[in-house]
Amino acid sequence: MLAEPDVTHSEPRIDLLKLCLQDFDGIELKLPYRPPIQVRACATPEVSYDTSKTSDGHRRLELIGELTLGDEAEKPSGDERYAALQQAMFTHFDALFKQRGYRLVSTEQGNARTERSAYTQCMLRAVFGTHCTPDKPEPPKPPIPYVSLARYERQQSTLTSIITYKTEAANTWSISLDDAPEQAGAK
Amino acid sequence: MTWRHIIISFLILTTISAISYIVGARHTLIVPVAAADPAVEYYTKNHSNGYAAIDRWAHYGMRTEHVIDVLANTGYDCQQLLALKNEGETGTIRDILCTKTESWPVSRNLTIQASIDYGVIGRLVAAKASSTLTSNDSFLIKHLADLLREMGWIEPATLQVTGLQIDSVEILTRMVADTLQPQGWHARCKHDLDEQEFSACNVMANERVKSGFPRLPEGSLPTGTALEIPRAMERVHFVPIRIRGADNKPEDSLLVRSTNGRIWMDFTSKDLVGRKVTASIELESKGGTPISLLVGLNGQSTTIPLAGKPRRANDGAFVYLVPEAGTQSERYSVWLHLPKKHSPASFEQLANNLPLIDKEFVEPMVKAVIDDPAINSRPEASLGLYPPLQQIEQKAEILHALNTEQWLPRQHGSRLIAEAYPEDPVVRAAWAFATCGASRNSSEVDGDCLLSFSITDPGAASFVRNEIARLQLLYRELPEDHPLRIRLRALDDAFSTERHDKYDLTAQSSSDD
Repeated sequence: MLAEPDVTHSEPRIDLLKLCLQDFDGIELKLPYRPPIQVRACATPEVSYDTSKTSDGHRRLELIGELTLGDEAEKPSGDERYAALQQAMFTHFDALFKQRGYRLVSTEQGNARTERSAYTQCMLRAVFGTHCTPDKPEPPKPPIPYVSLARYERQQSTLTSIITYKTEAANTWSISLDDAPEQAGAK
Repeated sequence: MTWRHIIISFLILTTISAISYIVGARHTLIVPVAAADPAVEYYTKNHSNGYAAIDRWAHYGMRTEHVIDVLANTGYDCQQLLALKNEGETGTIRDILCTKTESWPVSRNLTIQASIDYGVIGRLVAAKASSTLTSNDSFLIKHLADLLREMGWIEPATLQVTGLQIDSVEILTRMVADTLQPQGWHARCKHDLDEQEFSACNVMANERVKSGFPRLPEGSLPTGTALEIPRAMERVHFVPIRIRGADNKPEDSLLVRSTNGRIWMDFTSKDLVGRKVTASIELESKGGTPISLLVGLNGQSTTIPLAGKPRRANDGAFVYLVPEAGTQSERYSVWLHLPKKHSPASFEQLANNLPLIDKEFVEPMVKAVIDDPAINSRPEASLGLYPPLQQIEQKAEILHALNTEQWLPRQHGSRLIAEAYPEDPVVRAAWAFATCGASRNSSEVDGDCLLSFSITDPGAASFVRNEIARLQLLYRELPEDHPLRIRLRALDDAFSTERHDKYDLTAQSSSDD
């Protein structure tokens, strides 16, 4: 699952990653205890690390990780384990950004519950001739929420820095840093 | 006899001698082409040219076939090299006679007696030659021969062949250094040459004839890998002091001398007058890299630094040379590969070998595994982006995969790690995590084991406690049953100072929590 760049040629890559992270407004990125995370790509107007995409003037960090927190035996379902993993990721970065003077402005929730009824699961596993019993009508199960997107702001003199933390796919995240002129009122 | 007769005889003798010199010189003056390294000719340029100029090109250790070929090409008839009757005769010295009859200017029988050491390959260890007139009856012939020998126009009556004499540490050092260099004469100029190499070798040959073995380069001498050393030394007829016999060891296993954590390959040779010389190459465990050369002669020695080539695996990773465990200093060695991150089999293979190696090298090997950048250092780790507890757990997994509990007693391992990493609490804590079951599943943590670690290494234990506390603070708002909170609580419990205090008070077995 994890991309494994060739570490035998790591010294120039180390310098490149360092430069890219330094260009992130002094955030001094630290990665979480768990899940295990790597930097998949980093792009700023000055530096590109492991990406051929141009930064378009933005600063963007892409992270990729293993879908595990270690022993998750306490969580009975895969959905709950996934939500716990997302909680751990967000908690770490939320604390990191706040420590650097950013304030949380808004969040969006994702739902870790996968909507697969018994009937749907039967159909997915079905071989020719299998008969699946349609589900009895049931109320929808409550979502298993996690923070899928969070926006932070920091104001310094006339400049507002905006961080966007986002879950891109099941095991990838992005952190974007943009600067905007000071605007009247907070979001 | 009148004065007139004496003068006429003298003139006849002189004329015959002059003609003999002119004709005979063509047969004996020139060293047979390619008989020897041109450098040898530099050191023997004042030696006799008689007997196919053997004293100009012979040197200790020459293959018997080579000696016979050169002599045969100059008209000598040599005995067949007798096969050994049994292996017990290996090391026996036997003589081969090569004979030739020269008829001009005086008829004589030339005999070269070559003493051969019957090893795996027969080699020349000594030689002498003699020349006898076919007819001793003629007074004139006898005195003519004596006169010609006296003037050096034919070979001396007897000759003890000395050939290349290694009579100074300077010559010895240059000779050995010359053969060890990957781009030296021996490596480049002995086999089929293309046009470019032929031209370059001609230049080198001329230099060698003019000035002998090349001077040592400035700085360290470049060499090949440890596996190339025996072949290089064999080219100048050095043999290992300990020779492998019919053993069941891998082909690349080297017989080495190991003392005080250092590894040496020892070689010896002689010259044709029996002077013994030695050469020892020190190898570094990492890559088996040659790092120094020590040569010795008549109680004198000199050491020069080497810039050897390390042995690497196909992926570029270093391969480590370590001596097997044993009580004698000479023993076999093994090549060990560092394990690969996603290959449990590679960890198991190393773990199976570590108990079998010299104890002096266990710590360096474990350290090499822990510090191997290919295994545990991504750019993120090099930049310090990972929290210490994650680094501790990662290194603990590596140590756990080496199955240290099977071959390294816990206390000894703790001491080893503490001595190797006095400034690194992460590795010391990783060792504790690995041996106390804390590297993975929280339910397997051996609290008493970690307690013992806390007592013996309070610095590293304190480091871990602080890190646990920091993470507990960070994740305090997660649910109580969140896997991270469960994990951190278990570790906190294992490292708690209350547990420590209870242990101090009871000083018996651990208390129940």
